[in-house]
Amino acid sequence: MNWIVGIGGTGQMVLHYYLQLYLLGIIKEPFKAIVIDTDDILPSIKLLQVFFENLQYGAKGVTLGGSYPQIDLIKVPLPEGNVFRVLTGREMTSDKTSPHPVQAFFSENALRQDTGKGLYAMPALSSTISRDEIFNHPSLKYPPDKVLICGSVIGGTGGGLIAPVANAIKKNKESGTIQIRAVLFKEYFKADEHLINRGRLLSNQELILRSLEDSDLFHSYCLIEGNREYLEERNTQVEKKAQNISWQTSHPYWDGVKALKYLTGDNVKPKGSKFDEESIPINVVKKDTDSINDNYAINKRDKTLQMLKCMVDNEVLIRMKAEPFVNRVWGKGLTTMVSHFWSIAKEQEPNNSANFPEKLQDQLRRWWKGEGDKRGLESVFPHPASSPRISPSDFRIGITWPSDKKNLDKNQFKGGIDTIASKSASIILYWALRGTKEGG
Amino acid sequence: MKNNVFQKRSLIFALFLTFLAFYLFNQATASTPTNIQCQKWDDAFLTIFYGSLLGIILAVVGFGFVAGLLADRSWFLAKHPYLRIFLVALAVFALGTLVVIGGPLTGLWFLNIDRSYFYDCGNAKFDAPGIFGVIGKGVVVISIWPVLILLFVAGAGIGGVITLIVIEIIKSVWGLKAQAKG
Repeated sequence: MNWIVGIGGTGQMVLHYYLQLYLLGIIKEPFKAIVIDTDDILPSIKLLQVFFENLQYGAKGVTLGGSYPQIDLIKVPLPEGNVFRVLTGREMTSDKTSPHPVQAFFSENALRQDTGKGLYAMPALSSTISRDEIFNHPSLKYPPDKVLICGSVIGGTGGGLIAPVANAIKKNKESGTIQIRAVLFKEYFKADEHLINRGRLLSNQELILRSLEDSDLFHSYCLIEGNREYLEERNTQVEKKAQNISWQTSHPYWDGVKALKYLTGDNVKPKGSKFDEESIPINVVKKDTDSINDNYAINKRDKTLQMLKCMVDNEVLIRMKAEPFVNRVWGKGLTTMVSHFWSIAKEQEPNNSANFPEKLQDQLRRWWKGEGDKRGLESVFPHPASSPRISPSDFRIGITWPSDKKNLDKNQFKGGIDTIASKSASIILYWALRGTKEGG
Repeated sequence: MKNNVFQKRSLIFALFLTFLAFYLFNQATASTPTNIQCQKWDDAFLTIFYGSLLGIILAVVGFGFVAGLLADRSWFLAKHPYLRIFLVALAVFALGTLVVIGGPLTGLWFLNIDRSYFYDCGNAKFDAPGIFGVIGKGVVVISIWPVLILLFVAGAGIGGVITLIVIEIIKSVWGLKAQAKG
């Protein structure tokens, strides 16, 4: 299973979209996503982490019908206080008679900044503060042969952590070869001049690209950048909420998603000798036959979201319980799946499983729509652009349900009838999302 | 838009006038039937009624089963068996009532029963057997049409109950619960 490491806010946003495409079955291969940030992890990614963990049906990483992705979150803790205190462990004074060596590397302004408000696009800070955290983190141990890293080279977190993370992963590879491939974002948004000076972003870009060139860490990489003539402002508040964010297929994030998918492939050529000039151009990525087709992705998304809405609103699982011709009406795939989970419930909770389909339906609703403050998976996706008509027969012929029930570990279904229903509902939801056919 | 509404209303009014004229003409020209004629028509109508009652029960049972399979491509409404049976029973009852009890009113449905059975046999005196030999003995069957409607309701209900029982039996063999082996 490949690793995809999303670093900083940009890396998180690309993963936010990439995970959606995986859930919709447009990205086929499961992967392990590692999110590294000094800032908060996006709620959508946190929700998907819980969702994926709930899919475990057999050994770790195995769900009914195949493997599922895993998400590891590395929130690099920024100790409270100003940067000087974080780096030195003591208070900053105006006493010039006892200087500290960090004052040779950071300006006085930088050292006085409060870490609680971010890293102010200063890569030197993030790489210094989080060095130990990254090198020793268990999530970065035992990397596979192919690792993808995604982040921006203009910001504080991505700029400061891309090289240390790549380096740590490379060092953690104990045997065999490793290919680290990267999607790197150059200047792609219009800086808010009140917060960050554009010159700083551009100098970060120069510094990071040059240091990456010197380090020769990457097998191959794509550089993504915005339209230089018209850079869009970045709405970080909307991004941090990560709720029903629309898909903008012309946005650099979308290019990043395509590049990430391209780089997971086997036909990627290694970079040449000149680092900056020999990146894989985004046009090559878009022209690739395996590249994501925007219209197909949007149509599949809308169809799938509508299917899930129907499944929840029309209480399909409860109707199945009452149906005499259940195989004929709802199809063998879904029927076999639900009856399989009901069998498990009967075995584990014999006195409490009579209303299992009702509990399953309720858990399905909770996973999809959320409850109270808890968000549902529906919030991860954008609002559909169209509402294709869904008829009941779509559940029979419009979804490919898995039939392989090997690898069951009954211990995964211990913990009461609600746990069994919740796990079963998440697996049904997972396959309803991934298995819906675009035109079916 | 307004023209369309006006045209529709005019058409309905014209149809009403035609029906009224037909009815008045029929009343004016019909000769009063004899008791023997009334008895003959009553026997025929009773036979039709029995057949229809049985037909309603069978239709509810039959359509109750196949409605899900026929309608599942289009309507989620048809996907709940209980609701489906109720809707089928309601539809079959409505159709049966319209055709059988409303039939003699127009005289179009039953060739061997004259229209005057409905209009002129109400007070006829003959030895009417009554429905099932119990209800409305000595009374012309069509004159107790509210009872006929109630019997059709009962017939649709019986059909629904039979369907439910059979569905529960099928479910216990092939349903979701049966497939979930504990």
